[in-house]
Amino acid sequence: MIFALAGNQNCGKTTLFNQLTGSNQHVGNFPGVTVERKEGVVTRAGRGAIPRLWHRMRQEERHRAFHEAARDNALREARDAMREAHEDRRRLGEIRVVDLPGIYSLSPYTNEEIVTRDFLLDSHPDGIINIVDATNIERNLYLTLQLIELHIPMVVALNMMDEFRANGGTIKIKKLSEELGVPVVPISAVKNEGIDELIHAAAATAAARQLPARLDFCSGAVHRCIHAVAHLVEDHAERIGVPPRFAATKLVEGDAPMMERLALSENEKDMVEHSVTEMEQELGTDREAALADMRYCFIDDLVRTAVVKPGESREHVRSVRMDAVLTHKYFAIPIFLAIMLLIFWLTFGVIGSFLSDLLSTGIDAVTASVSSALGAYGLNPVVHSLVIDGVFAGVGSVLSFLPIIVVLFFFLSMLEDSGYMARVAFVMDKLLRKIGLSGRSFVPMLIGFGCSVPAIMATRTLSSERDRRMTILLTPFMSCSAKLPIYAMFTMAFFPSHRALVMICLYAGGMAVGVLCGLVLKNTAFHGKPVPFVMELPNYRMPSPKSVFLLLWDKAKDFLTRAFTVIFIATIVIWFLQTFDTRLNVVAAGGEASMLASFGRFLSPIFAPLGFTDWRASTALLTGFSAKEAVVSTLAVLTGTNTATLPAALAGIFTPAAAVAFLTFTLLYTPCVAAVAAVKRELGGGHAAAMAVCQSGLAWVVAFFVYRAALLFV
Amino acid sequence: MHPIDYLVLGLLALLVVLAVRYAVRHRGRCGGGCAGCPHADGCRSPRKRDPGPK
Repeated sequence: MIFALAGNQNCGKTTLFNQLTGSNQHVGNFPGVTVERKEGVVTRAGRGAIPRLWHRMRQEERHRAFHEAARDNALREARDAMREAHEDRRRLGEIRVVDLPGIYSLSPYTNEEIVTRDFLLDSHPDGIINIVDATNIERNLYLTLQLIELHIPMVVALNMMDEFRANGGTIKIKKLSEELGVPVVPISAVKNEGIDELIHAAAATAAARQLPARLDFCSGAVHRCIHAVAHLVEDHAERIGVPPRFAATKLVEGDAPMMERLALSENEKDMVEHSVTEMEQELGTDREAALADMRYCFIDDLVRTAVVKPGESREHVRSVRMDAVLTHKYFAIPIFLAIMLLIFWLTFGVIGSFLSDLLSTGIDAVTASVSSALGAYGLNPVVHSLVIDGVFAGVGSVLSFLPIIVVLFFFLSMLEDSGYMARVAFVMDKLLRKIGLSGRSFVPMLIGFGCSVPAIMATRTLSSERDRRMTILLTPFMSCSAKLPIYAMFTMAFFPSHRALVMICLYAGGMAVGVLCGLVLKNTAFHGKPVPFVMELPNYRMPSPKSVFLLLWDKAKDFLTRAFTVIFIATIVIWFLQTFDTRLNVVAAGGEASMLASFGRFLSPIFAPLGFTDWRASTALLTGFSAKEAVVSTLAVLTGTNTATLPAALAGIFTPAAAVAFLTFTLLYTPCVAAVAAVKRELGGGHAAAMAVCQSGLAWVVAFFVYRAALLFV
Repeated sequence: MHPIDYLVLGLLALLVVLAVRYAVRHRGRCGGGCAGCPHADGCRSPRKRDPGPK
C-alpha cells in the first residue's frame, strides 16, 4: 500500500513523514530543501488489520488473474500475476509513504510541481495524504481541490491543530469532510497527535478504494466550460489514464504539457479553445484567473461555514515584531553579519577551539601509546613510520577539527530551524539582484558553506536555467567546511589571537570574490534578468532538538567517513611517495630524494611569486584536489609532525605573509574532485574543466596581490 | 621483517581495500550531508533502491 504525502511548503509534510517512518529527514523552512521524493515504510505500531485485508484482497485478485490467464494459455500474464501475488505476500501489512516536494498547485511551472504531478499521474499511488496547515487553511485548500480532481483515494490531514486551537480557533471537521467529499483527520505532526488515526483512515480509504465523493466545485460559466471540455477529451484522458475532469481543468488553464499528453487533434484543440474563449468573454477575465477565482470562492464559502478563525496567533504577532527588526531595510544585513561574527567567535575562539584542543591532546596521547606499543613489539622502523608518521599523523590531524565543524553547524542549524534563514534569503534577494541572481539562489550558496556538492545539486530547484548555471559557477566561492581544518591550522600557527577575525575575513573574502565574478558573468555570458522571487516566511519557532541533533549527527558521520576513507587513502599514498625514491629505496625523513619531493620541486616554482617556495606547500595544495582536508594531513605527514607540533613546523615553511597568500589560494582555487564531478553532471565536462582552470588561475592572481599587500604589513 | 610486521601491513592493506571499495561504491555521491540534501534519494544504489509504487 503506497501513499503520497502532498501539501504546501512548510505545512509539516516532512515532520509527518518522520513521525510515520522514523527516517532521518531534514526539516527546513526555506525553499529548496526537498526537491526529489523520499520514501519510507510506516513503522508505527497499530498499522492495523486494514493493510493486511487489503493485501489479501489483492492476492485474491492476482490468483483469479492467474487462473484466467492459465486457462487461456497466456503464460506471460499468468507468470506476472503470480509474481505480483508473491510480491504482495512479501509486503503483507506494509504501508509505504512517499514524501513529495512542497507545492502550491499542480500546474507545471516549477520542477517541484512537475515531480509531484508526474508521480501522482504516472505512479498511481493507492492513496494521497494531503497535509493542510490549519493555521493557513485557505491557501492550503487550493491545492486540496486540485488533488481531489485527480480522483484518487485521499485523506486530508489537518496539521498544526495544536497551534490553531491554542489561539482560540475551531474547525468543524465533519462539515469540512462533507463539503470536500474526503475524510479529514486533525493532527499535530510535531506533537505526534492524531497520527495513528490518520494512518487508520488512510488505510481504510485506500483499502475500500473510496474515491472523493465530490469533484465539482464550480458553477456558472466555469462549470459549463470545464464540463464541455471534459466531454470532448474523455476518451483521450481515459486512454492515458488521467481523470477527464482533471485533464479538462488543466486544458482550461492552458496547460501545454497536458495538451501534448492528450494528443488532441487540431479540431479538438480549436474546440477547447473556443469553449475557453467563451468563458473568458462571459466572465470578463482570463482563464487562469477564472479558475483561481472559482476555487477561492468555494474555499471562502467553506471556511466561512466550517472554520472559526482565531485572532492573530501569538506566534505570528511575535514573528511580525521580530521581522520588523531582522528584515529592516537598513539593519537586516548588519544584524546578519553580527550574528555570523558571533557564531564564528564562539566556534573558533571559544567553544570549538577548546574542544578541538582537547581532542588533539587525546589523539596525540593515543598516537604515543600506539607508537610505544609497536616499538615494544619490535616493529620494523619503516612499518612503524607508516603507521605513526603516516596514518596516525595524517588522519589524526584532520580528526581533531571535528568539534569545530560540529559546533559551527550546531549554530547554523539552530538559525535554520528557528526560521531565521528564510529571512536571510529574503534579505539577500536585493543584494543578489545586483549581480543578476535572486534570493532563491541564496539557498544553494548557503548549502555550499557545508559542502559544494549538495549545493550544486540544489540548484536544480531554480526554475531559470540562466540563474541555475550562474549559481553553480559561483557556489564554489562559498568556502566549504572541508577547508575549515586548513584555516584553523594556519590561524592557530600564525594568528592565534585573531582566529575569529581571520576566519570571517576568509569567508567574507570568498563571498566578495564570488560577487565580483557574478558581476562579470552578469555583463558577459549571463545577460538577462533573474526570475521573480516569491517565498513564504513561516513563523519563528524554537529550534527542534531532534532536527538539530539529526543534522549534527549527519555532519559528524560524513566528516568521519571522509576521514577514514579518502583522507586515509591519500595519507598512505603521500607517506609512500615521500618515504621512497624512484628506485623504492627508503629515504631519510624529510628527504629531498623522495618521489614526492621530486614532483613537488617541479610544481613549486609556480607558487614562488606567492611567497611559498617549499615543495611541501605545493604538494599539499595538489592533494587538496582529492579532498580539501587532505592539505592538512599532507602537511602533517610531510613535516613528520602531529596535530600539536604541526603549527610550529608550518612556521618553518611559511612566513606570515606567505601564510595569508596560502590561505587565499586555498579559499579560491578549484574545489575537490567530487565538486568538479557534480559540476560536470550539471553543466557538462567542458564547463567543469573551464571552471577548475579559471578558479585556480583566479586564486593564483588574487593570492599574488594579497601576498604583495601583506608584505607591507608583516 | 617479523611476523608482526606482516600482520600490521596486512591489516593496513585490508583497511585500504575497504576504504577504496567504499569510495568506489559511493562514487558520484558527495560524501557529504544527506540531511538537507534535496537529492539524497538519488544517491542510493539501484540494487538497494526501493522498487517504488506499481
